[in-house]
Amino acid sequence: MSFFNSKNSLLLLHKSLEGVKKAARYDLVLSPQFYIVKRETVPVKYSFQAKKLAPSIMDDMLPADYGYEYVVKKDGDSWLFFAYAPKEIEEFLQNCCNIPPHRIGKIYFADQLKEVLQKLPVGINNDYALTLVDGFATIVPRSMLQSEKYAKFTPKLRPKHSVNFKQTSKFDKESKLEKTTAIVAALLFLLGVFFFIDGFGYKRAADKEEAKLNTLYEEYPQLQSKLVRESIKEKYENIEKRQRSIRQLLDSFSQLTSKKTLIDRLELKPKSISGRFLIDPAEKKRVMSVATGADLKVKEVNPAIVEVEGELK
Amino acid sequence: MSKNRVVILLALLILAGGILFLIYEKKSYMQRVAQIKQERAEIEKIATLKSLWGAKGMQKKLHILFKRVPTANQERLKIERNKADIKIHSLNEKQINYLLTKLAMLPVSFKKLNITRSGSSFTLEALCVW
Repeated sequence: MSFFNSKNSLLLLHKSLEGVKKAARYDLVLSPQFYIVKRETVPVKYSFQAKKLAPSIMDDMLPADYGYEYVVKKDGDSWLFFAYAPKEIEEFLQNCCNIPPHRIGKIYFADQLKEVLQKLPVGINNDYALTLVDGFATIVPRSMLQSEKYAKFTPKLRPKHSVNFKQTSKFDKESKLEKTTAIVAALLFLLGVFFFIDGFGYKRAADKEEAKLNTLYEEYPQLQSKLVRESIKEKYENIEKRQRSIRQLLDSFSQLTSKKTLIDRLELKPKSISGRFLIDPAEKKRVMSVATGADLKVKEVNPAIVEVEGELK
Repeated sequence: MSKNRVVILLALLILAGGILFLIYEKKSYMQRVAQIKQERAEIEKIATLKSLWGAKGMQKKLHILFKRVPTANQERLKIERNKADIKIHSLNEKQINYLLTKLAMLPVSFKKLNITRSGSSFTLEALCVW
């Protein structure tokens, strides 16, 4: 495969064609089996004018309305009128070589090989050859020719001037459908690939997070087990809760004291802290108010002594 | 079935595979990340709590604190690697306030805490662990 050869594969199209090498696109040299040619001298200067005359000039030569396409070429003082049927060519290539119409590129006519054919006939197969008869390219049996030498048809014989092949609308539609299918399939495929790549991205991101966690586990290997983690967490959370509560209650108790209100006893119990305060009766209202505000239980032992208790959380 | 249909069907299958793979990976990523976040938060919390309530150098800090208390008042002062058993008597109001405030500021767990008054002096009894 060459990435630099922009020319399509060149085929000499004849009815006994077989064993075509696979290629992306084909240019065709039509043998006289696939076109009709007529030389005519018409008083026109330009090829577009000649082309307009082509249907009427060739009308009596064409067997049926087969959707002919016309090509004109100036040859000395006269014009060469070519007529070919794209449908016939498309059907033949599809049946003989499984070549779809959209793979057909440019076409040439065997009459354009005149210079080669004047020197040597071109062999088509073991039985037939392409040669000039009355100045026109014709396929004849080899047995009718005197020549012992035959030129081989190679891409080097490619004529100078090509004609764009006119696809029939039916095959054109199929070709367009095939192209559209290819584009849609490629888009769907790309979208699918994009989703796969995106999915792998999530997989990689999850692996990254996992790696970060593993680094943390390396730092605290004993915390790898969920049970151990929960047990340690519970232990420290209980300590945190109880000790913060103790400190809050000690702070509340300290707010009860003043120059006239003295602490007499303080005790940390399993679920509470209790304290006994010696108070001045004048301070009783303040002590009560502070204790209630701090959610402490106050019990009056006598007018000068109160017992206060705060529950631990 | 025509060639075109087969091609489109194959492309659709790849697309469907890609979508399913993406949905599965995204879902499992979300679940995994949520789980990892929770585990990390747990570990970090444990590490913080451990460093707070299992602080190192507590023995030294307590020795420095109780150095200020006259030896005659120290009825019992045992400061070990991870606990301290304290009983100090004849403390005045200022001293008991100071000691109690300082002890409460340290990240130690009080297992026992008693304050009793006799006349104008106080006795502080505490068992702290860390």
